[in-house]
Amino acid sequence: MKKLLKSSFSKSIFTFAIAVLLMTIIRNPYHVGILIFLGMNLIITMGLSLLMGYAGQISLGQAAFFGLGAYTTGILTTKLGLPIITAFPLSILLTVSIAFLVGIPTLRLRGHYLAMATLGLGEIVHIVFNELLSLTGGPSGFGNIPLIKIFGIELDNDYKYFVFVWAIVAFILFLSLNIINSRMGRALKSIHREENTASTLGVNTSRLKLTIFVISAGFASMAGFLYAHYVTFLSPGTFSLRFSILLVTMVAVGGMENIWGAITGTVVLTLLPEYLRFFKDFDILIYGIILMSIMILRPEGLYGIKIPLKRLRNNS
Amino acid sequence: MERILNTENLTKHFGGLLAISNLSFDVMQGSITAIIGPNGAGKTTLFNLISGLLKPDSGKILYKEKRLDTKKHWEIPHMGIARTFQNLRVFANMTITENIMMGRYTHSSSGIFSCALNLKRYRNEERDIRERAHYWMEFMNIDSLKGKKLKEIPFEKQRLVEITRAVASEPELILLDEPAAGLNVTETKTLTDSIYKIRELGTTILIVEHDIDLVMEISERIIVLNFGEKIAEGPPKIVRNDEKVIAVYLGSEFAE
Ligand SMILES: Nc1ncnc2c1ncn2[C@@H]1O[C@H](COP(=O)(O)OP(=O)(O)OP(=O)(O)O)[C@@H](O)[C@H]1O
Ligand SMILES: [Mg+2]
Repeated sequence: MKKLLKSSFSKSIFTFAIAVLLMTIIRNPYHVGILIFLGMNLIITMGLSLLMGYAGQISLGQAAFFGLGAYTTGILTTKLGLPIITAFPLSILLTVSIAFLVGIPTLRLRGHYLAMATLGLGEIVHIVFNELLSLTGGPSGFGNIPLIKIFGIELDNDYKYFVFVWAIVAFILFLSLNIINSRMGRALKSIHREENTASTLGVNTSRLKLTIFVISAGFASMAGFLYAHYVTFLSPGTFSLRFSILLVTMVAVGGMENIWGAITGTVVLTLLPEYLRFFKDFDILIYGIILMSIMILRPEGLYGIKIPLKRLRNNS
Repeated sequence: MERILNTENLTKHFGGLLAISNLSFDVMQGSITAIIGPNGAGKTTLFNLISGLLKPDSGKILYKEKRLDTKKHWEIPHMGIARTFQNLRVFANMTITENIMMGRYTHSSSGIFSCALNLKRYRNEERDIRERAHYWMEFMNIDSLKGKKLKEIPFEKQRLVEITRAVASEPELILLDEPAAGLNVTETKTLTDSIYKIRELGTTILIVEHDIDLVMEISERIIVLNFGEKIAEGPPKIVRNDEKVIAVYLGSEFAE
């Protein structure tokens, strides 16, 4: 039984079940909407966690991959009238190919060249979104992106979409956990520590780093696809460097060396700003203080903090 | 006996420093060959060249009569060559068993997709990796470390973990860089037994070691380096009484 609970499959199912339970408790479209965005962020940061925490590489281009996924499916379905089922694989394929092309030259080098290359890519993608007026509508964006229909059900409200997004979150979690616990996961961890040692054990380190980078771009693109068909309107502002940095921060704040860390960081940093609005103009200030405190007091990330509940209870 | 490894006029500079100078030698299949020499003689550099972490400036390295120095460094373990490092290189972010399982990397082939989707083929392979890792832990007498974390065990045991990781890859040639450094007398004795056991598997052993008694006891052939140059080569008895070798080790307990 214990073993069963520990499997990647049951962890994913459990995550999905908790999410759906939460939704039925909340029953408020605004808050459910926030949790839909949380799901999308999680899809991106789980990939980023594989890349940062396991392969030891930083990408500042995840917002661009997110954007590429969203814009491609958006353009294909509205301007070219393709069905969503065709637009979906094409949008993933395009993003993944671009990541591959950026990754090939940079991941052969050691050091943080990937961060620089993806920073550049992010800017280029942003410029394209702004300037390619006929397709993207430029700075003002474009809308009327169709809704997803699955098994004859149109995902036309937040509750339906929530279930759809979180099913995918669970699936991505399943994939990520499997990778982490496999020979590939061990190889990734070995690269992070000792790239030379990893290669003397037979790991083709550049290729593995490239693979993980491409997978992380694929995850981001998947989130972009979900975003496009939920919001149904796209403009370049969403896919800026600012968002890329926020994603990296989520992974770092939660704890890099563990995917649950990335998940914790994403939950905290997605929900915090929403509920800090309560403080009106002070929200940015409080947000900054919280971030700084985490970085100073717990540089290894939030995940794994043991709250001494017993002691608290005994003292009171 | 056939030779498994040989170098021809191998040379490696670091800037103006000549670390390996015009070095040629043969290693016979199934033998234990020791490389000795004073600090900075180029022993580790030689291992780095063989394992592909460094590329020679000139000369060749041949493994089973095939060029090794033109291979990429990650390809070399797949050809049956494993190594350990002088300055312990274990993975602190993994358990001990996982460290040993890394030694099975070259014997497994599941790609990222069969891993991600948890396909049956991958699950069977993973089970096999774990079983083999346990087998080699027992072989090296470290099965008591199963399930432990690296930081829970002392340095000497970590060194055994690293050696076991190399042995678990079932290499034909194993390079051990100062495996006895930091070990006490009993631990060295256990290590010696393990080295014999590894040799009995048919594995060729190339060992760099400062513990002269250990070297004299186990090796069939000794190659002596000084400033990157080979100054003597032969069975222990001959090398021990070589004048050049004695001169290099002058004042030490080396000569009989
Ligand atoms: N990567 C490097 N860059 C520059 N110099 C190096 C490098 N590696 C080794 N050296 C130098 O090359 C020479 C040979 O070093 P090496 O580590 O091979 O010696 P060694 O015989 O293994 O010594 P020890 O017994 O101390 O381990 C030394 O002078 C060392 O400083
Ligand atoms: Mg050395």
